[in-house]
Amino acid sequence: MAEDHVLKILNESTPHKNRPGARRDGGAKQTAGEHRAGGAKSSAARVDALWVSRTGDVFMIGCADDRARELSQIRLVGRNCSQTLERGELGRWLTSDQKEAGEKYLAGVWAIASLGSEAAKEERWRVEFVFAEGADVAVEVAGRPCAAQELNERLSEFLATFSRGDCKTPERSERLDRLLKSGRAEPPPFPRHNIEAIVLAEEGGVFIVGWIDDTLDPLSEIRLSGPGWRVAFTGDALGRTAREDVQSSIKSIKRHAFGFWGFASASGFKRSVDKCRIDLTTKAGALQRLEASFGIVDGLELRNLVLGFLGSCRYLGNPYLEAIASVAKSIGRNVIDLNTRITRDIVAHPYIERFGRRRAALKGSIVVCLYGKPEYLFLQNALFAGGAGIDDYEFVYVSNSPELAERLLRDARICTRTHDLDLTLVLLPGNAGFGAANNVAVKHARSDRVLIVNPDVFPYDPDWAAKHSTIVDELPNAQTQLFGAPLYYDDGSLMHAGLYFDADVGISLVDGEFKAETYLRVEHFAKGAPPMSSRFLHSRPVPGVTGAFISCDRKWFEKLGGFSEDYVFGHYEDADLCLRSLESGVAPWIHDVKLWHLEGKGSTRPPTLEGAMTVNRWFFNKQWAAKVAPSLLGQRPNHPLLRAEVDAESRRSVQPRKPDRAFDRSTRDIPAPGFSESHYAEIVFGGEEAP
Amino acid sequence: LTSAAVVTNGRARLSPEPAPKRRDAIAKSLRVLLISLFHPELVRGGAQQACYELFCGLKERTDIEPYLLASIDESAPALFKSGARITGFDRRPSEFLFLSRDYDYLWHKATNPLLIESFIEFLELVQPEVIHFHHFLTLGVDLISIARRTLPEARIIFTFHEFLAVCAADGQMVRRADKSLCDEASSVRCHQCFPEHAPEFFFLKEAWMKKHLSAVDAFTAPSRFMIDLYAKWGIDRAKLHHIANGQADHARGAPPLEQRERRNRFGFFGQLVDNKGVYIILEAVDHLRTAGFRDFVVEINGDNLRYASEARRKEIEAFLEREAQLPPQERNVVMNGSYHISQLASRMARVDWCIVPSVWWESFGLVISEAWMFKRPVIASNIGGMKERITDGVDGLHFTVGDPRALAEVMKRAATEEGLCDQLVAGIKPPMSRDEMAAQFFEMYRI
Repeated sequence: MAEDHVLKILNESTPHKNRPGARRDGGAKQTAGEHRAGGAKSSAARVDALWVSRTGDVFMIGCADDRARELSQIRLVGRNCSQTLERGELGRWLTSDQKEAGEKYLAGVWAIASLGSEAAKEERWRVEFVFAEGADVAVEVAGRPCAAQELNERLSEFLATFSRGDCKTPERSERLDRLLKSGRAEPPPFPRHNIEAIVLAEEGGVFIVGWIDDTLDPLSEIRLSGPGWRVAFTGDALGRTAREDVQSSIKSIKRHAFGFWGFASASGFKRSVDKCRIDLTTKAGALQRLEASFGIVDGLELRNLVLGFLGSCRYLGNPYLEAIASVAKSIGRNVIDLNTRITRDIVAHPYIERFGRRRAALKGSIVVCLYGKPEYLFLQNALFAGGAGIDDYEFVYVSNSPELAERLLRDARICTRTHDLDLTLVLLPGNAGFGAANNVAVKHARSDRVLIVNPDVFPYDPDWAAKHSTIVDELPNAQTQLFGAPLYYDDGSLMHAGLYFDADVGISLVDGEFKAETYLRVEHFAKGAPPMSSRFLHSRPVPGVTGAFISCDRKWFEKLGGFSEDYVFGHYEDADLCLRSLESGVAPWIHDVKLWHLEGKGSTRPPTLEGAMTVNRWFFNKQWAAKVAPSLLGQRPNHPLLRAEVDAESRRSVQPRKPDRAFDRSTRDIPAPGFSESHYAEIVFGGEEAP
Repeated sequence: LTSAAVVTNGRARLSPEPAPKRRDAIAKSLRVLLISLFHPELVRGGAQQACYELFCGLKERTDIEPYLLASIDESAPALFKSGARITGFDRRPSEFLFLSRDYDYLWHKATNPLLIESFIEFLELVQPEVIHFHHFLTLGVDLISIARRTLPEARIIFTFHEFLAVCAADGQMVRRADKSLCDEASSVRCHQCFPEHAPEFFFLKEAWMKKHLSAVDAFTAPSRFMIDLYAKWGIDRAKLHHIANGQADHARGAPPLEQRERRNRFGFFGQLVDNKGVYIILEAVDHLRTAGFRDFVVEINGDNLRYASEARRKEIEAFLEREAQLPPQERNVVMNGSYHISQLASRMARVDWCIVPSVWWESFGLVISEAWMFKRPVIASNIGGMKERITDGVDGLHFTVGDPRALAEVMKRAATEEGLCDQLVAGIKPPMSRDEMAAQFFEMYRI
């Protein structure tokens, strides 16, 4: 489960301004674990909302039926601060239930407290209702952070809704007076800003981009409210970017990341209107309310828009580090979440067609993921066909390019007539990425061994397949559970003879301060080495092997859970798989079955891919940086499993480790109120009407 | 074959039909299928002409039963019968058209499965014992592998007419940037000619070509220098054989070169595309006139100027326009336009010399054979097939390739040096005849 969210989701618990006291779905009962503090039976008590301003003022609305036993105190208890409110400090109000029932008894209770700046840091509160005779009730509730000005507005709105007699102010009203007085004070000026775009996908999420000159008063929160939904981004959850155009336009001397952007992944947005309300708040409490139109796209477009934007961002400091930092707090997880939902949809609807003569006894299934370049199907067929032992293998091609479907079917037909390989084509209706596509292809493989092969990989020797079969048949099981091979560039030099991990410390200068971050780097043994460098060609365990070629016992692949599907489009899945294998007790090996790998065409990466790379880099490091160091770093890591002489069987004592999911997917597609965590500040459905 | 004759569902395997039984006398003959780039009746060109000459030569033999499968492309839309992929041709026995469509010029691959199915069925119906490819362009180099798979016992011969398997620049081995001659392909060198393709593309393309060419039993090329280049590229030299292009003797009955005081009439025969170098002649003409030498005439026979590069086309058109403005007696260049082979004798009768100024290697140079048929000595670029076939000072003259001044000097010498032409005419040996070529190929088919 994710643990690095900036803020937790809060559920809508604001009494409707026109219907004070109305109990709302998703109120405190979802987030509060109500329990009895005392043993005696007590009257019902609840908390509908609890706002906490940045300055430490608290405004609580709830209900406590004290007709049987008088409510004597309410205690507000946070982790680091608390306050007891005596009966004279409590206000009362007429709840809608009682009003409808024609009762005059004021069961509702409200209070103002001032706990100081520590209160603003509290996330959860324990509200203890102390009744006479010790029949206490304690309610756990999440506090809703807000600016001082907003707290005042909430309070004023609350009080304004009551008729005479329906609401009673506390007997001791100093705090209330102070607050209302301060609320009338001139709020601090809101910094110059602009919301440049809001884009929403009903089943995808919401993306916002703009700029703000918050050099003096930092942006603390952006709330978007639409028809039946609300999303809030805390300042920390936003990515910040350099905007030279803004810097120049506002004639600011100070270098500052004026740009901001945020992305929240969720489903169930309504598009009945194309406008939403935006509330921007600064740390000093300045509030700006705007109304803006939003664009509507589908989830796929939204993902690509977000990735493209991320890939084209400029930063003040080291772009590599700053890009990762911008997604680390919140955006990265949200992108992965949306991408995962897209991927799931895609792999759920494959079209499968089998070609050629079915071989009865197969030694392996060569699984190839195609993307964008259909010619690799016929090229691989031509160049693998005819080699000794190749008839013991089937080919399973999975295509991430739906636009190529017809061409691939046609070419597969021709290949069958030309080479008669055992060929299965799995066509996906979208780009599911490398990991998910290979995983679904493996499901359609018919042998006990899967060979994950890139489309630009070709046999170096004609008898490649026979050599591979010999290795699998004759070497100890522990050496063949998962292995790679030496790969060669087209220029004849070595391209790969295993992966190893290295760590880079990057320094970024932002706001006059150096930030140092350490990130893992995945490197290839032997890149560019002379072709017959014996030190790279002999069989040996290595920290990892490239996904361009992985031969894996199918059961082991499945026990490991296949490739992680959290990486967007593809990158790091190979290292991730190998690290999980290592963690589960099986080291990847390199065996000398040479292949060509025509890696690296020198083509430019589009911003979408660049953005995906940033998210993947962040996620891979988050997953593995701590685990890789120190036993797996460098070309000669001291990890015990990477010593060839270690008894192979001793490596098998650990249960296979499946990929950590970025979050609990069972809850990810639930748009309704009530899910407990997310990756933006707040998202609420079914809330206020559209502005 | 029409659509009715082919399988509509390509996934269903065809059950091979037995070859039609022939009468005993013919049944003993060798069934040979020639596969040609284009039919020369429809699209003119050296490769198809050579193939068709062979087809005609084989037809005259009683020990061979030849078939011809010639491709056509969309340039002859009227011949594309609806739903058909292979058809007959103009009621000619044993001649068929391969209706090429959706051809992948990048990989030289057939992309239409139905066309492949039709080809397979055609092979199964004809059951050739020898399949002789004269090209893969517009057909697909993968047809070689398909032929091998369909008829594993058939002997597959491939004749190279240029370097298309090696060179993506139309198989000419002329570098695109500076038009210099190229004598070795490599991933990086080819990438330099086609920067839009990475070196890896050429690595793969070579592997793709060689994979399919590996199904060939024997290769032939009309020039020895081609054999050297293909061997250097990686074709087993033992499989490479030299067989010159033979032709029917179109000069039969033509009068010998008439006695004239001066041998100052030059002829160009061929296509007006860049690599044939007709612009070299026009520039040489300018040089000669500038130098005050005007007592000569150049007759240009050929067409397809539209296939020349825009720059060359404009240059040639401008020259001819200027020439047309001159009084008739001052004109040195005459444009005769295209000609049919039956007109060759009359065109040759108007010239004393033939000029072959090609700026590419010329794999053979059929025009040299045609000139020799009519006993016309050839002035040619000193490279490739031209250099190999013409011995300077014995049966023709060389000039430095691409150099109009050098050509101008040779032309002036040819037009003015008394006895030179007759001396060279005496040195001309008859070119390879069609029958001789057919006989040589017959020997290759039977190995």
